[in-house]
Amino acid sequence: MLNPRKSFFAFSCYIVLLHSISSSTEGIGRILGAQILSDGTKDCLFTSATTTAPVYDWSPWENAPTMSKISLDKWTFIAQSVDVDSSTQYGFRYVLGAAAPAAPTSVLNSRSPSSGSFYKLYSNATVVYTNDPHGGSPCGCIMQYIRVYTDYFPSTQDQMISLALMNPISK
Amino acid sequence: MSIKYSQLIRDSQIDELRPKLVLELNSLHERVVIIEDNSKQVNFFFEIPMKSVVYRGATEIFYIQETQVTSSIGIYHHKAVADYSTTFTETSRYTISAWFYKATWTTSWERYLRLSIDAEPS
Repeated sequence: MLNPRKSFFAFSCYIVLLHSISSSTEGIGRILGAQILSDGTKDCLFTSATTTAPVYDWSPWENAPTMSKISLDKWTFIAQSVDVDSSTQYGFRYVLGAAAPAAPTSVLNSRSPSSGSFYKLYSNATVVYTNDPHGGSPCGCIMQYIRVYTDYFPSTQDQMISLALMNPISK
Repeated sequence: MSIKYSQLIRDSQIDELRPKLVLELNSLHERVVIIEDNSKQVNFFFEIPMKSVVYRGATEIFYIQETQVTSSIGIYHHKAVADYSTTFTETSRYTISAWFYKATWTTSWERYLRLSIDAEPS
């Protein structure tokens, strides 16, 4: 016969344990994120969370290991946009040739949550960049022009490139 | 947007060639991109002033990190969204973007960006 008090205590411990595992491995609600597995095996540049999945990696991302698409000694632009109401997320990767005036390469993809819904952005959110205290390695990069746009959902390549090239003096 | 033309231009200050791209935004506006590889910077400027195609409605832009910052073991850069606006409360449409210059590879998951749902421990 189950003891209700013991059952409730055990259930509470389970919830606390579950939360501690989630927090230590995934951070506090990774609603958007960018990451690369640097052993060259994973086709994943972006990740996020949904209301039913704390980790919703965007894989496959462009049908090739992401590491093979990121060149050393070059600048790469990344952007991720979300429209919670339409359950849509866009990811964008953009590279300018640095050694020669080569044509820029870009990838724009969209997806919907496999279950649940994407999270809204609230004023108590935090942006963590170049490294993450909840695991993994530093990005091994120099980062610049990190921006968050509210009430804006770019969904075309032109709109994404406009973000990439936007200079503060143009406002 | 399309590439109108590209060429190498000489930077007279340091006497080096720089890649230059001219991007045609539409029939009236174009944008010039100069890539400064040696200094690891990307500079953008405009030959023709253009109307922004980015802004709409109540869009706010939070400039989280405009200057260059280098990743390092044990260093966790983070900024609170609340520090950038006193009026913003919530939105269901949002975007995060960044430029990064890839310098080295590690042997595990490399973390670039994370937009968390709430505050990070300091």
